[in-house]
Amino acid sequence: MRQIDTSDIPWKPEPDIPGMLYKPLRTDPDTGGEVLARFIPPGWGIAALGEKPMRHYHRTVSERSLQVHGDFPHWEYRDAHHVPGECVVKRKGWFMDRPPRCIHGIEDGPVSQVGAISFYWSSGGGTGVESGGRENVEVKFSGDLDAYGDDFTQVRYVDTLRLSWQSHPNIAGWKWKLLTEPDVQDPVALHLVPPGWRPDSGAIYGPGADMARWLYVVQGEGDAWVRGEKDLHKIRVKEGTFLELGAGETLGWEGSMESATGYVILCAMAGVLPNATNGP
Amino acid sequence: MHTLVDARLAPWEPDPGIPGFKQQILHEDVVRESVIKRWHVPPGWGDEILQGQPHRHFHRSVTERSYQLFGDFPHWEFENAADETGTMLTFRPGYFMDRPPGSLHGLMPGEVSKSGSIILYWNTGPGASVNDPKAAEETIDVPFGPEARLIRQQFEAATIFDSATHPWTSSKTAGWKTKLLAAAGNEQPAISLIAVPLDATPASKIIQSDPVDYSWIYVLNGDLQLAIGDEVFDLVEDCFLGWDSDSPPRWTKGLPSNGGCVVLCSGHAL
Repeated sequence: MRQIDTSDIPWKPEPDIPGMLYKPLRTDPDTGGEVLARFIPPGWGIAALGEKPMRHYHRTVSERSLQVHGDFPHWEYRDAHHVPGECVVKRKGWFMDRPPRCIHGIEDGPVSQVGAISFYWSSGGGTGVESGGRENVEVKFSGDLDAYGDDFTQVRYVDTLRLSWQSHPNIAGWKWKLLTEPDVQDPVALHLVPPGWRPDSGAIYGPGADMARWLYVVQGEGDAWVRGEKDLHKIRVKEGTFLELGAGETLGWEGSMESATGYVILCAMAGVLPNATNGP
Repeated sequence: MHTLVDARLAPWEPDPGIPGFKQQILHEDVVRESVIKRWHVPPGWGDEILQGQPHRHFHRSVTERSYQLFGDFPHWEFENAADETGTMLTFRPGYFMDRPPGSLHGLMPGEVSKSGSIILYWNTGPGASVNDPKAAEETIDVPFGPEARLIRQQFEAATIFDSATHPWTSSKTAGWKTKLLAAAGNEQPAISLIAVPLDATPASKIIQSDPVDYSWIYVLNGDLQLAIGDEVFDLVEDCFLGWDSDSPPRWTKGLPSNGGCVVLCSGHAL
Protein backbone atom coordinates (compact mmCIF):
# COMPACT_ATOMS: atom_id res chain seq x y z
CA MET A 1 0.00 0.00 0.00
CA ARG A 2 1.28 3.43 -0.90
CA GLN A 3 -0.41 6.46 0.65
CA ILE A 4 0.64 9.92 -0.55
CA ASP A 5 -0.56 13.27 0.71
CA THR A 6 -0.25 15.11 -2.58
CA SER A 7 -0.05 18.46 -0.78
CA ASP A 8 3.31 17.33 0.65
CA ILE A 9 4.93 16.87 -2.76
CA PRO A 10 6.60 19.87 -4.43
CA TRP A 11 5.62 20.90 -7.94
CA LYS A 12 8.26 20.32 -10.60
CA PRO A 13 8.43 21.28 -14.27
CA GLU A 14 6.56 18.91 -16.56
CA PRO A 15 9.16 17.75 -19.09
CA ASP A 16 6.86 17.44 -22.11
CA ILE A 17 4.56 20.43 -21.62
CA PRO A 18 6.32 23.83 -21.51
CA GLY A 19 5.36 26.01 -18.56
CA MET A 20 3.29 23.44 -16.71
CA LEU A 21 4.19 21.85 -13.37
CA TYR A 22 3.29 18.44 -12.07
CA LYS A 23 3.44 15.95 -9.23
CA PRO A 24 3.97 12.43 -10.58
CA LEU A 25 2.05 9.86 -8.57
CA ARG A 26 2.27 6.65 -10.52
CA THR A 27 3.54 5.28 -13.84
CA ASP A 28 2.25 1.93 -14.98
CA PRO A 29 5.27 -0.25 -15.75
CA ASP A 30 3.44 -2.12 -18.50
CA THR A 31 1.53 0.59 -20.35
CA GLY A 32 3.39 3.78 -19.42
CA GLY A 33 0.05 5.21 -18.24
CA GLU A 34 0.49 8.02 -15.77
CA VAL A 35 -1.34 9.31 -12.72
CA LEU A 36 -0.38 12.83 -11.75
CA ALA A 37 -1.50 16.21 -10.45
CA ARG A 38 -0.95 19.00 -12.97
CA PHE A 39 -0.62 22.72 -12.26
CA ILE A 40 -1.36 25.16 -15.08
CA PRO A 41 -0.01 28.55 -13.90
CA PRO A 42 -2.09 31.73 -14.26
CA GLY A 43 -1.56 33.25 -17.70
CA TRP A 44 -0.66 29.93 -19.32
CA GLY A 45 -1.62 29.83 -22.98
CA ILE A 46 -0.23 30.05 -26.48
CA ALA A 47 2.78 32.08 -25.31
CA ALA A 48 4.11 28.97 -23.57
CA LEU A 49 4.14 27.25 -26.98
CA GLY A 50 6.14 29.99 -28.70
CA GLU A 51 2.95 31.81 -29.82
CA LYS A 52 2.23 28.96 -32.26
CA PRO A 53 -1.22 27.37 -32.19
CA MET A 54 -1.03 23.64 -31.74
CA ARG A 55 -3.49 20.76 -31.99
CA HIS A 56 -3.06 17.03 -31.98
CA TYR A 57 -4.70 13.75 -31.14
CA HIS A 58 -3.43 10.60 -29.49
CA ARG A 59 -3.42 7.40 -31.50
CA THR A 60 -4.19 4.92 -28.75
CA VAL A 61 -4.10 6.63 -25.37
CA SER A 62 -7.17 7.83 -23.49
CA GLU A 63 -6.87 10.68 -21.00
CA ARG A 64 -9.10 11.48 -18.06
CA SER A 65 -8.94 14.22 -15.49
CA LEU A 66 -10.83 15.90 -12.70
CA GLN A 67 -10.11 19.60 -12.32
CA VAL A 68 -9.84 20.58 -8.67
CA HIS A 69 -8.99 24.27 -8.99
CA GLY A 70 -9.21 27.23 -11.32
CA ASP A 71 -9.89 27.81 -15.00
CA PHE A 72 -8.17 26.35 -18.06
CA PRO A 73 -9.12 27.42 -21.61
CA HIS A 74 -8.62 24.62 -24.10
CA TRP A 75 -9.70 24.11 -27.71
CA GLU A 76 -11.70 21.17 -29.02
CA TYR A 77 -12.23 20.09 -32.65
CA ARG A 78 -14.92 17.92 -34.23
CA ASP A 79 -12.49 17.02 -37.03
CA ALA A 80 -9.52 18.44 -38.91
CA HIS A 81 -11.71 20.94 -40.81
CA HIS A 82 -13.02 22.48 -37.57
CA VAL A 83 -10.94 25.71 -37.65
CA PRO A 84 -10.85 27.68 -35.47
CA GLY A 85 -11.80 25.20 -32.79
CA GLU A 86 -14.24 25.65 -29.94
CA CYS A 87 -12.70 27.26 -26.89
CA VAL A 88 -13.86 25.48 -23.73
CA VAL A 89 -12.92 26.93 -20.35
CA LYS A 90 -12.52 23.95 -18.05
CA ARG A 91 -13.35 24.81 -14.45
CA LYS A 92 -13.10 23.39 -10.97
CA GLY A 93 -15.21 20.26 -10.69
CA TRP A 94 -15.08 19.35 -14.38
CA PHE A 95 -14.40 15.76 -15.32
CA MET A 96 -12.83 15.16 -18.74
CA ASP A 97 -12.97 11.90 -20.66
CA ARG A 98 -10.84 12.08 -23.80
CA PRO A 99 -10.72 8.91 -25.90
CA PRO A 100 -8.01 8.19 -28.49
CA ARG A 101 -8.36 10.08 -31.81
CA CYS A 102 -9.86 13.18 -30.22
CA ILE A 103 -8.37 16.44 -31.57
CA HIS A 104 -7.55 19.12 -29.01
CA GLY A 105 -5.14 21.99 -28.76
CA ILE A 106 -4.26 25.58 -27.92
CA GLU A 107 -5.04 28.63 -30.03
CA ASP A 108 -4.55 32.36 -29.64
CA GLY A 109 -7.24 33.44 -27.19
CA PRO A 110 -8.14 33.38 -23.51
CA VAL A 111 -5.53 32.26 -21.02
CA SER A 112 -5.97 30.86 -17.54
CA GLN A 113 -6.94 33.66 -15.15
CA VAL A 114 -6.06 32.10 -11.82
CA GLY A 115 -4.31 28.92 -12.94
CA ALA A 116 -5.71 25.43 -12.67
CA ILE A 117 -4.96 22.10 -11.02
CA SER A 118 -6.12 18.80 -12.47
CA PHE A 119 -5.87 15.27 -11.18
CA TYR A 120 -5.01 13.40 -14.39
CA TRP A 121 -4.58 9.82 -15.48
CA SER A 122 -3.93 8.20 -18.85
CA SER A 123 -3.92 4.73 -20.36
CA GLY A 124 -0.43 5.17 -21.81
CA GLY A 125 2.52 7.52 -22.09
CA GLY A 126 3.78 9.95 -24.70
CA THR A 127 0.86 12.40 -24.71
CA GLY A 128 2.71 15.62 -23.81
CA VAL A 129 2.96 18.22 -26.55
CA GLU A 130 6.74 17.74 -26.69
CA SER A 131 6.77 14.02 -26.03
CA GLY A 132 7.91 13.04 -29.50
CA GLY A 133 7.38 9.44 -30.46
CA ARG A 134 4.45 7.99 -32.38
CA GLU A 135 1.58 8.48 -29.95
CA ASN A 136 0.84 12.11 -30.78
CA VAL A 137 -0.32 13.08 -34.25
CA GLU A 138 -0.13 16.79 -35.01
CA VAL A 139 -3.08 18.14 -36.98
CA LYS A 140 -2.23 21.25 -38.97
CA PHE A 141 -4.69 24.12 -39.24
CA SER A 142 -4.50 24.41 -43.04
CA GLY A 143 -3.40 22.46 -46.09
CA ASP A 144 -4.71 19.04 -47.01
CA LEU A 145 -7.01 18.52 -44.04
CA ASP A 146 -8.87 15.67 -45.78
CA ALA A 147 -5.73 13.61 -45.41
CA TYR A 148 -6.36 13.27 -41.66
CA GLY A 149 -9.57 11.33 -42.31
CA ASP A 150 -12.87 11.83 -40.54
CA ASP A 151 -13.06 9.08 -37.94
CA PHE A 152 -12.46 11.29 -34.93
CA THR A 153 -13.88 10.90 -31.47
CA GLN A 154 -15.31 13.60 -29.18
CA VAL A 155 -14.31 14.62 -25.69
CA ARG A 156 -16.83 14.33 -22.85
CA TYR A 157 -16.99 16.95 -20.12
CA VAL A 158 -19.10 16.67 -16.97
CA ASP A 159 -19.52 19.42 -14.39
CA THR A 160 -19.44 17.12 -11.39
CA LEU A 161 -20.52 19.88 -8.99
CA ARG A 162 -23.85 20.17 -10.84
CA LEU A 163 -24.41 16.42 -11.03
CA SER A 164 -26.78 15.02 -8.39
CA TRP A 165 -25.70 12.30 -6.01
CA GLN A 166 -27.53 9.01 -6.47
CA SER A 167 -28.00 6.10 -4.11
CA HIS A 168 -24.97 3.87 -4.36
CA PRO A 169 -25.60 0.70 -6.39
CA ASN A 170 -23.37 -1.50 -4.22
CA ILE A 171 -22.92 -0.03 -0.76
CA ALA A 172 -25.91 0.80 1.44
CA GLY A 173 -25.67 4.31 2.86
CA TRP A 174 -23.17 5.62 0.33
CA LYS A 175 -23.97 7.80 -2.67
CA TRP A 176 -22.26 8.10 -6.00
CA LYS A 177 -21.98 10.14 -9.17
CA LEU A 178 -21.21 8.13 -12.28
CA LEU A 179 -19.03 10.35 -14.46
CA THR A 180 -18.64 8.15 -17.53
CA GLU A 181 -21.35 6.77 -19.80
CA PRO A 182 -23.11 3.85 -18.07
CA ASP A 183 -22.00 1.19 -20.52
CA VAL A 184 -18.24 1.77 -20.64
CA GLN A 185 -15.84 -0.97 -19.61
CA ASP A 186 -13.81 1.22 -17.29
CA PRO A 187 -16.28 3.48 -15.47
CA VAL A 188 -15.22 6.46 -13.36
CA ALA A 189 -17.27 7.59 -10.38
CA LEU A 190 -17.22 9.78 -7.31
CA HIS A 191 -18.22 7.91 -4.18
CA LEU A 192 -19.53 9.69 -1.08
CA VAL A 193 -18.79 8.05 2.28
CA PRO A 194 -21.13 9.83 4.73
CA PRO A 195 -20.05 10.92 8.20
CA GLY A 196 -20.74 8.30 10.85
CA TRP A 197 -21.33 5.62 8.22
CA ARG A 198 -20.87 2.02 9.27
CA PRO A 199 -21.35 -1.11 7.20
CA ASP A 200 -24.51 -3.08 7.92
CA SER A 201 -22.48 -6.25 8.34
CA GLY A 202 -19.96 -4.60 10.68
CA ALA A 203 -17.18 -4.77 8.12
CA ILE A 204 -16.95 -4.71 4.35
CA TYR A 205 -13.97 -5.12 2.06
CA GLY A 206 -13.24 -4.83 -1.61
CA PRO A 207 -12.72 -7.92 -3.72
CA GLY A 208 -8.96 -7.59 -4.05
CA ALA A 209 -7.05 -8.23 -7.22
CA ASP A 210 -3.73 -9.50 -8.47
CA MET A 211 -2.78 -6.06 -9.76
CA ALA A 212 -2.09 -2.62 -8.25
CA ARG A 213 -5.04 -0.21 -8.10
CA TRP A 214 -5.46 3.38 -6.93
CA LEU A 215 -7.98 5.98 -5.77
CA TYR A 216 -7.91 9.68 -4.94
CA VAL A 217 -9.71 11.55 -2.15
CA VAL A 218 -11.34 14.65 -3.59
CA GLN A 219 -12.89 16.13 -0.47
CA GLY A 220 -13.27 15.63 3.28
CA GLU A 221 -11.48 13.19 5.56
CA GLY A 222 -12.11 9.97 7.41
CA ASP A 223 -11.01 6.42 8.13
CA ALA A 224 -10.54 3.36 5.97
CA TRP A 225 -8.86 0.00 6.44
CA VAL A 226 -6.33 -1.83 4.30
CA ARG A 227 -6.09 -5.59 4.61
CA GLY A 228 -3.05 -7.39 3.27
CA GLU A 229 -2.28 -11.07 3.27
CA LYS A 230 -0.77 -10.87 6.76
CA ASP A 231 -1.89 -7.65 8.32
CA LEU A 232 -4.74 -5.22 8.72
CA HIS A 233 -4.39 -1.56 9.52
CA LYS A 234 -6.52 1.53 9.78
CA ILE A 235 -5.57 4.56 7.70
CA ARG A 236 -6.69 8.17 7.76
CA VAL A 237 -7.41 9.70 4.37
CA LYS A 238 -8.16 13.31 3.52
CA GLU A 239 -8.57 15.65 0.59
CA GLY A 240 -5.55 15.16 -1.66
CA THR A 241 -4.75 11.61 -0.51
CA PHE A 242 -3.57 9.31 -3.30
CA LEU A 243 -3.84 5.67 -2.28
CA GLU A 244 -2.36 2.81 -4.24
CA LEU A 245 -3.23 -0.73 -3.22
CA GLY A 246 -0.72 -3.43 -3.97
CA ALA A 247 -1.60 -6.79 -5.45
CA GLY A 248 -3.52 -8.85 -2.92
CA GLU A 249 -4.48 -5.88 -0.75
CA THR A 250 -8.08 -4.89 -0.20
CA LEU A 251 -9.66 -1.67 0.96
CA GLY A 252 -12.47 -1.76 3.49
CA TRP A 253 -14.39 -0.24 6.36
CA GLU A 254 -14.97 -1.58 9.86
CA GLY A 255 -17.22 -0.23 12.58
CA SER A 256 -18.32 3.38 12.66
CA MET A 257 -16.19 5.80 10.69
CA GLU A 258 -14.76 8.77 12.55
CA SER A 259 -15.41 11.75 10.34
CA ALA A 260 -17.26 15.00 10.85
CA THR A 261 -18.18 15.56 7.24
CA GLY A 262 -17.45 12.29 5.43
CA TYR A 263 -15.34 12.13 2.30
CA VAL A 264 -15.53 11.79 -1.46
CA ILE A 265 -13.42 9.27 -3.37
CA LEU A 266 -12.57 9.39 -7.06
CA CYS A 267 -12.30 5.83 -8.29
CA ALA A 268 -11.44 4.85 -11.84
CA MET A 269 -10.59 1.21 -11.43
CA ALA A 270 -12.55 -1.94 -10.84
CA GLY A 271 -11.66 -4.05 -7.85
CA VAL A 272 -11.00 -1.20 -5.41
CA LEU A 273 -14.31 -0.70 -3.61
CA PRO A 274 -16.58 -3.32 -2.06
CA ASN A 275 -19.57 -4.60 -3.94
CA ALA A 276 -22.82 -5.82 -2.47
CA THR A 277 -21.77 -9.42 -2.10
CA ASN A 278 -18.53 -8.82 -0.28
CA GLY A 279 -18.63 -9.31 3.46
CA PRO A 280 -15.73 -9.23 5.88
CA MET B 1 -32.58 42.49 -2.23
CA HIS B 2 -30.24 39.57 -2.61
CA THR B 3 -27.01 38.79 -4.44
CA LEU B 4 -26.14 35.47 -6.04
CA VAL B 5 -22.67 34.85 -7.48
CA ASP B 6 -21.37 31.55 -8.80
CA ALA B 7 -17.72 32.46 -8.35
CA ARG B 8 -16.52 29.57 -10.49
CA LEU B 9 -18.06 31.31 -13.49
CA ALA B 10 -17.65 34.97 -12.53
CA PRO B 11 -14.95 36.97 -14.37
CA TRP B 12 -11.84 38.19 -12.61
CA GLU B 13 -10.65 41.79 -12.84
CA PRO B 14 -7.47 43.51 -11.66
CA ASP B 15 -7.87 44.84 -8.13
CA PRO B 16 -7.12 48.58 -8.35
CA GLY B 17 -6.31 48.55 -4.63
CA ILE B 18 -3.43 46.05 -4.72
CA PRO B 19 -1.02 45.76 -7.66
CA GLY B 20 -0.96 42.22 -9.04
CA PHE B 21 -4.11 41.02 -7.24
CA LYS B 22 -7.25 40.00 -9.14
CA GLN B 23 -10.69 40.23 -7.59
CA GLN B 24 -14.29 39.13 -7.92
CA ILE B 25 -16.62 41.50 -6.08
CA LEU B 26 -19.38 39.54 -4.35
CA HIS B 27 -21.07 42.43 -2.54
CA GLU B 28 -20.44 46.12 -1.91
CA ASP B 29 -22.12 48.25 0.73
CA VAL B 30 -22.14 51.71 -0.83
CA VAL B 31 -22.96 53.44 2.47
CA ARG B 32 -20.25 51.85 4.60
CA GLU B 33 -17.97 51.36 1.58
CA SER B 34 -17.31 47.84 2.82
CA VAL B 35 -16.80 44.93 0.46
CA ILE B 36 -17.00 41.14 0.25
CA LYS B 37 -14.75 39.77 -2.49
CA ARG B 38 -12.61 36.91 -3.66
CA TRP B 39 -8.97 37.70 -4.20
CA HIS B 40 -6.53 35.89 -6.40
CA VAL B 41 -2.88 36.28 -5.43
CA PRO B 42 -0.64 35.00 -8.24
CA PRO B 43 2.30 32.66 -7.59
CA GLY B 44 5.46 34.58 -6.72
CA TRP B 45 3.52 37.73 -5.80
CA GLY B 46 5.17 40.23 -3.48
CA ASP B 47 7.62 42.45 -5.29
CA GLU B 48 4.74 44.49 -6.73
CA ILE B 49 4.43 45.93 -3.22
CA LEU B 50 7.84 45.36 -1.69
CA GLN B 51 10.23 46.37 -4.45
CA GLY B 52 12.95 44.72 -2.41
CA GLN B 53 11.96 46.40 0.87
CA PRO B 54 9.83 45.11 3.75
CA HIS B 55 6.41 46.70 4.23
CA ARG B 56 3.98 46.77 7.16
CA HIS B 57 0.99 48.77 8.20
CA PHE B 58 -2.11 48.85 10.36
CA HIS B 59 -5.65 50.10 9.79
CA ARG B 60 -7.17 52.79 11.99
CA SER B 61 -10.80 51.69 11.99
CA VAL B 62 -11.38 48.87 9.51
CA THR B 63 -11.81 45.26 10.58
CA GLU B 64 -10.76 42.65 8.01
CA ARG B 65 -11.76 39.02 7.91
CA SER B 66 -10.77 36.31 5.47
CA TYR B 67 -11.05 32.62 4.77
CA GLN B 68 -8.41 30.96 2.59
CA LEU B 69 -9.98 28.91 -0.21
CA PHE B 70 -6.96 27.74 -2.19
CA GLY B 71 -3.18 27.77 -2.24
CA ASP B 72 -0.53 29.23 0.00
CA PHE B 73 0.01 32.85 1.06
CA PRO B 74 2.89 33.87 3.33
CA HIS B 75 2.09 36.88 5.50
CA TRP B 76 3.80 38.49 8.49
CA GLU B 77 2.39 39.57 11.84
CA PHE B 78 4.22 42.05 14.09
CA GLU B 79 3.73 42.36 17.87
CA ASN B 80 4.88 45.97 17.91
CA ALA B 81 7.03 48.44 15.99
CA ALA B 82 10.22 47.13 17.58
CA ASP B 83 9.45 43.65 16.21
CA GLU B 84 11.54 43.95 13.07
CA THR B 85 11.34 40.36 11.85
CA GLY B 86 7.72 39.59 12.52
CA THR B 87 6.21 36.12 12.54
CA MET B 88 5.53 34.55 9.19
CA LEU B 89 2.30 32.61 8.78
CA THR B 90 1.57 30.78 5.55
CA PHE B 91 -2.17 30.87 5.01
CA ARG B 92 -3.48 27.61 3.57
CA PRO B 93 -6.97 26.36 2.70
CA GLY B 94 -9.18 26.58 5.76
CA TYR B 95 -7.21 29.38 7.46
CA PHE B 96 -9.45 32.01 8.99
CA MET B 97 -8.31 35.54 9.88
CA ASP B 98 -10.01 38.11 12.09
CA ARG B 99 -7.97 41.30 12.01
CA PRO B 100 -9.21 44.13 14.24
CA PRO B 101 -8.20 47.77 13.72
CA GLY B 102 -4.71 48.50 14.99
CA SER B 103 -3.22 45.14 14.00
CA LEU B 104 0.29 45.43 12.55
CA HIS B 105 0.90 43.19 9.54
CA GLY B 106 2.88 43.15 6.34
CA LEU B 107 5.24 41.46 3.94
CA MET B 108 8.94 40.72 4.04
CA PRO B 109 11.20 39.96 1.07
CA GLY B 110 11.90 36.30 0.52
CA GLU B 111 9.07 33.83 0.95
CA VAL B 112 6.36 34.06 -1.71
CA SER B 113 3.29 32.09 -2.69
CA LYS B 114 4.21 28.97 -4.67
CA SER B 115 0.90 28.10 -6.26
CA GLY B 116 -0.93 31.38 -5.75
CA SER B 117 -3.96 31.65 -3.54
CA ILE B 118 -7.65 32.43 -3.57
CA ILE B 119 -8.98 34.22 -0.51
CA LEU B 120 -12.52 35.07 0.52
CA TYR B 121 -12.14 38.53 2.10
CA TRP B 122 -14.54 40.95 3.73
CA ASN B 123 -14.14 44.18 5.66
CA THR B 124 -16.03 46.98 7.37
CA GLY B 125 -14.94 50.00 5.35
CA PRO B 126 -12.61 51.58 2.77
CA GLY B 127 -8.92 52.35 2.72
CA ALA B 128 -7.46 48.99 3.76
CA SER B 129 -5.72 48.32 0.44
CA VAL B 130 -2.50 50.16 -0.34
CA ASN B 131 -3.77 51.90 -3.49
CA ASP B 132 -7.30 52.53 -2.25
CA PRO B 133 -8.25 56.23 -2.61
CA LYS B 134 -8.85 56.39 1.14
CA ALA B 135 -5.71 54.47 2.11
CA ALA B 136 -3.94 57.63 3.28
CA GLU B 137 -6.62 58.19 5.94
CA GLU B 138 -7.13 54.59 6.97
CA THR B 139 -3.86 52.72 6.55
CA ILE B 140 -0.75 53.80 8.42
CA ASP B 141 2.63 52.50 7.29
CA VAL B 142 5.00 51.64 10.13
CA PRO B 143 8.68 51.96 9.25
CA PHE B 144 11.50 49.59 10.12
CA GLY B 145 14.85 50.60 11.64
CA PRO B 146 15.68 53.50 13.97
CA GLU B 147 12.39 55.31 13.31
CA ALA B 148 10.45 52.26 14.51
CA ARG B 149 12.10 52.36 17.95
CA LEU B 150 10.43 55.71 18.62
CA ILE B 151 6.95 54.27 18.09
CA ARG B 152 5.49 53.28 21.48
CA GLN B 153 2.00 52.47 20.19
CA GLN B 154 0.29 49.32 21.42
CA PHE B 155 -1.01 47.12 18.62
CA GLU B 156 -3.86 44.66 18.52
CA ALA B 157 -3.24 41.03 17.63
CA ALA B 158 -5.06 39.39 14.75
CA THR B 159 -6.70 36.02 15.33
CA ILE B 160 -5.49 33.58 12.69
CA PHE B 161 -5.97 29.83 12.77
CA ASP B 162 -6.50 26.75 10.66
CA SER B 163 -10.22 26.08 11.00
CA ALA B 164 -9.57 22.35 10.43
CA THR B 165 -7.87 22.21 13.84
CA HIS B 166 -10.98 23.45 15.65
CA PRO B 167 -13.49 20.79 16.63
CA TRP B 168 -17.01 20.65 15.29
CA THR B 169 -19.76 21.08 17.87
CA SER B 170 -23.37 20.02 17.71
CA SER B 171 -25.71 22.48 16.08
CA LYS B 172 -29.16 23.34 17.35
CA THR B 173 -30.43 21.21 14.46
CA ALA B 174 -29.99 17.50 15.19
CA GLY B 175 -27.20 15.98 13.13
CA TRP B 176 -25.83 19.31 11.94
CA LYS B 177 -22.45 20.56 13.13
CA THR B 178 -20.98 24.01 13.60
CA LYS B 179 -17.70 25.81 14.27
CA LEU B 180 -17.80 29.38 15.48
CA LEU B 181 -14.87 31.12 13.79
CA ALA B 182 -15.43 34.56 15.32
CA ALA B 183 -18.09 36.12 17.48
CA ALA B 184 -19.75 39.38 16.54
CA GLY B 185 -17.55 42.39 17.19
CA ASN B 186 -15.83 45.38 15.60
CA GLU B 187 -18.88 45.97 13.36
CA GLN B 188 -18.75 42.39 12.05
CA PRO B 189 -21.47 39.81 12.68
CA ALA B 190 -20.56 36.34 13.92
CA ILE B 191 -19.07 33.99 11.36
CA SER B 192 -19.42 30.20 11.50
CA LEU B 193 -18.78 27.06 9.54
CA ILE B 194 -21.81 24.80 9.35
CA ALA B 195 -21.82 21.19 8.15
CA VAL B 196 -25.17 20.05 6.78
CA PRO B 197 -25.38 16.26 6.45
CA LEU B 198 -26.78 14.63 3.35
CA ASP B 199 -30.54 14.24 3.21
CA ALA B 200 -31.00 16.15 6.49
CA THR B 201 -34.04 18.20 7.38
CA PRO B 202 -33.80 21.75 8.77
CA ALA B 203 -35.15 22.72 12.18
CA SER B 204 -37.17 25.73 11.08
CA LYS B 205 -38.72 27.00 7.87
CA ILE B 206 -36.98 30.38 7.84
CA ILE B 207 -33.31 31.09 8.31
CA GLN B 208 -32.93 33.21 11.42
CA SER B 209 -30.57 36.09 10.76
CA ASP B 210 -28.78 38.04 13.45
CA PRO B 211 -29.90 41.68 13.76
CA VAL B 212 -27.62 42.86 10.95
CA ASP B 213 -28.30 44.63 7.67
CA TYR B 214 -26.70 42.04 5.44
CA SER B 215 -26.12 38.32 5.85
CA TRP B 216 -24.47 35.86 3.52
CA ILE B 217 -23.52 32.27 2.88
CA TYR B 218 -20.59 30.84 0.93
CA VAL B 219 -20.54 27.17 -0.06
CA LEU B 220 -17.14 25.61 0.63
CA ASN B 221 -18.13 22.18 -0.63
CA GLY B 222 -21.21 20.14 -1.45
CA ASP B 223 -24.65 21.42 -2.40
CA LEU B 224 -27.39 23.43 -0.71
CA GLN B 225 -30.86 24.43 -1.86
CA LEU B 226 -32.44 27.67 -0.61
CA ALA B 227 -35.15 30.01 -1.85
CA ILE B 228 -35.87 33.72 -1.60
CA GLY B 229 -39.37 34.67 -2.67
CA ASP B 230 -40.18 32.58 -5.72
CA GLU B 231 -36.56 32.03 -6.67
CA VAL B 232 -34.93 28.71 -5.84
CA PHE B 233 -31.14 28.59 -5.62
CA ASP B 234 -29.20 25.39 -6.15
CA LEU B 235 -25.93 26.40 -4.58
CA VAL B 236 -22.76 24.40 -5.13
CA GLU B 237 -19.12 24.89 -4.21
CA ASP B 238 -17.99 28.53 -4.57
CA CYS B 239 -21.51 29.95 -4.73
CA PHE B 240 -22.17 33.10 -2.70
CA LEU B 241 -25.66 34.19 -1.65
CA GLY B 242 -26.19 37.41 0.32
CA TRP B 243 -29.41 39.06 1.45
CA ASP B 244 -30.72 42.15 3.15
CA SER B 245 -32.47 41.68 6.48
CA ASP B 246 -35.89 42.18 4.90
CA SER B 247 -35.52 39.28 2.42
CA PRO B 248 -34.11 36.26 4.27
CA PRO B 249 -33.97 32.91 2.51
CA ARG B 250 -36.16 29.97 3.37
CA TRP B 251 -35.88 26.26 2.89
CA THR B 252 -37.61 24.70 -0.08
CA LYS B 253 -39.98 21.73 0.06
CA GLY B 254 -37.10 19.43 -0.89
CA LEU B 255 -34.19 18.35 1.27
CA PRO B 256 -31.60 21.08 1.87
CA SER B 257 -28.66 19.04 0.63
CA ASN B 258 -28.39 16.04 -1.65
CA GLY B 259 -24.84 15.10 -0.69
CA GLY B 260 -24.18 17.25 2.37
CA CYS B 261 -22.24 20.49 2.43
CA VAL B 262 -19.97 22.75 4.46
CA VAL B 263 -20.85 26.42 4.30
CA LEU B 264 -19.50 29.66 5.71
CA CYS B 265 -22.26 31.68 7.36
CA SER B 266 -22.09 35.38 8.29
CA GLY B 267 -24.91 36.99 10.22
CA HIS B 268 -26.93 33.79 10.62
CA ALA B 269 -26.53 30.15 11.57
CA LEU B 270 -28.85 28.61 8.95
